[in-house]
Amino acid sequence: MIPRSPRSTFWRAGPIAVAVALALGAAACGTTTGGGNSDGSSGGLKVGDKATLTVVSQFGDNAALQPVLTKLNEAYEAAHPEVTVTIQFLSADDEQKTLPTSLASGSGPDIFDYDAAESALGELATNGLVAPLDTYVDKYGWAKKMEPSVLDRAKYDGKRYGVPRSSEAVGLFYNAAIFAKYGIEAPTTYAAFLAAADRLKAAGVTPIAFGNKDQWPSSHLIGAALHANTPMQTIRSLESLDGSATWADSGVQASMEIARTWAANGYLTSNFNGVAFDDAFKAFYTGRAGMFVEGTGVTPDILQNATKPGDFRFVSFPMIDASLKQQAEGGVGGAWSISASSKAADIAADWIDFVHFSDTAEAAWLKAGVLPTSRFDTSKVDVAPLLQQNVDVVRAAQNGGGIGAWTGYTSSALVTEAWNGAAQQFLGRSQDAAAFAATLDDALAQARKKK
Amino acid sequence: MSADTFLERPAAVSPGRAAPTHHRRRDNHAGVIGYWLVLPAATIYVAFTLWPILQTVYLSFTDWNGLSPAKSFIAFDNYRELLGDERFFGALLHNLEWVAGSWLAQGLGLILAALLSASWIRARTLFRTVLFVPATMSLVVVGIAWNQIYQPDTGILNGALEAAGMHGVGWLSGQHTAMPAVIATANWTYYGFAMVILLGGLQSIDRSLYEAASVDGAGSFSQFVHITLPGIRNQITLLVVLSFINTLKTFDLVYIMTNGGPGHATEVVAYYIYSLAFVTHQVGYGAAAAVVLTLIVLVITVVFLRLRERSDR
Repeated sequence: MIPRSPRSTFWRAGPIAVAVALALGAAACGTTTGGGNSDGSSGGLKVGDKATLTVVSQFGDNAALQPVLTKLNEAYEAAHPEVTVTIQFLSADDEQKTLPTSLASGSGPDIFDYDAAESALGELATNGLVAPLDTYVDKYGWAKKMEPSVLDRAKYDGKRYGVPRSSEAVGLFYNAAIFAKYGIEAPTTYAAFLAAADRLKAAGVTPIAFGNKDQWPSSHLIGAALHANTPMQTIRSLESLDGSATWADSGVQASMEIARTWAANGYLTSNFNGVAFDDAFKAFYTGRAGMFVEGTGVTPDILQNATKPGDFRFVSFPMIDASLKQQAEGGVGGAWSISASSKAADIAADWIDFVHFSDTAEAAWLKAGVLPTSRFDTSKVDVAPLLQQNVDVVRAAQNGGGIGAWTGYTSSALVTEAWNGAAQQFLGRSQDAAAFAATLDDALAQARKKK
Repeated sequence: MSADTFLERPAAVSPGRAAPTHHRRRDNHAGVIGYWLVLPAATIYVAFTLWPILQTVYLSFTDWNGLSPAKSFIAFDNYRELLGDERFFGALLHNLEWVAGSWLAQGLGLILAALLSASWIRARTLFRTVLFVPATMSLVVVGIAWNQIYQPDTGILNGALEAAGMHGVGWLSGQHTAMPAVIATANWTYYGFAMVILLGGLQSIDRSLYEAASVDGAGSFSQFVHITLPGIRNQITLLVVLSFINTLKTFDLVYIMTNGGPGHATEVVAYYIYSLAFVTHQVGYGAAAAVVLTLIVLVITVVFLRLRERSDR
């Protein structure tokens, strides 16, 4: 046998070796993970150091809020010329699909705003992808600026992982011009709400604009009925993995059934399961529907897009069970958080404090329609009447029975996913309340068991 | 020396006549060069196809949630759970409905191909181009456009029904109308492709066969059954099997048009896998479902290849 020279061996075996090496190298790209300190300090760059920060914001589908954040960021960069901040705007939907993966791969942004629910930010936090903020809560005095019930919305396993950036509550929008045209009383009681729906239907106007093709709007509609008819204690227990309440609770089922009677009575947009949220919303603010059961978060769009924003009013969704104090579905719209892999967590916390808590920032957000999560005195700012009504509805619930949770969207992604499919069937009358509750309870039991 | 000659295998030689040494060395050299030439493609294939497949198979034996660095090996638990998962089999059934629905598009494609191959047709190229256009469009664009067409209040479909004195239909909101509506959208993008494939088959049939059949008194139907259909047998086989493979992995239209709803009425396996992996963070379980789907597609592909080999013989 003739011994092969090394060159000959490389020549023959080289292609395979090179292919494997290149392939493994390419496959390994992006699998490195960054590390943060569990005490919340970054152990990296300090305030005053030169740094470039990346921010992912949920305002991708809220054009009115993008310039507000951009201007506040420019002000921060002007005050800190050593820092450059790049903001990427994503829709909330796109962010939920992409951010977990990018954080898990260690390539996430330094700062992001995300739904503060246990099922969203809580899941990222408990998997070690988010930096705890307790150190910064103390440093910047955020606990003094916010009610504990608000700040604790982003607290999981005893640590704070987010700074809630907007208070939100579901209430009842109505078109006062349409109500006046047909001589309908303002829907401030449940009886008046039903009477208004009947009158609008008789007049050939869609009583309640509702599009559920995107699936989540059912959470706000059914949630409105649930929060108007169920004690807050039951709701909070139901929406927590540490709770014991279930969807099979007779009171909960009765509340869900009430929402279904609105569909059965023809109060909602026809074929609502095939109508997109945006189309239903547009039907409302262009005067083709009388009422809209939605959260305060849509107010900026009404102010920006309606031909006559002055025609619109916002009231608390009226309580069905009159023995309960005024309460509302909702919570916080999102929370600023810092990625666990960020090497500039100290600077990121400084940025969050600047764009959220300065008086300039609070006023800018409120004028744009974002309700404060802090104790900021809103009377200092001259806002549109509809925005002031938003503030009043949130405060009425806070001072009454409380703001509960985002129905079906708070405890676990498993429950949310179960809700999405089953709620369409329930409202579309192909599933009854007991079957709907059983589907949700299966998912809830699975989520509670996993925890 | 042509490239074919350069790369072809060394010819077998009789024991008594060894190939000249310099020829053998040159042939070996040529073989090695071949490996170097496929290196870029092989690298891409290993990195972006083979490696992810192996990773997916590995993940299917774990309980990984896609977020935590920790993952536990749970052997076949995911596969056992999948066996009792009604939602998975429901989604698979929707895929099969989709396959059956796509055969309607193939039927339409056959009719159009027959019309376009008729001798009396004028502006054949124009018709062929216009009819093929939907097949070239992005499914995302198609999904958005058909969403508008199916809109209950503002869509042109319900507008036409109402203009004709009928009631509008909740095309994408009804439990029994959503799936046919999505399949119809898919078929709109597919019939043109089927038409072009079948047209190629029709044009390859020897015209003298039809002339001989006419002389023997065979009618149009008889000619279609005994000459046309056997003549395009290979194209039909190709389309049927492609419809299996393409519809089993379909995702885009469901994602754009219905999110699998109402309820799970339009959920297909690929959408269910996406939902498991990226919505509820059950990556391990989703990987198991993906492996099973891949195996199903693989089996159908093998059957397809065997059928083609048999028909070629």
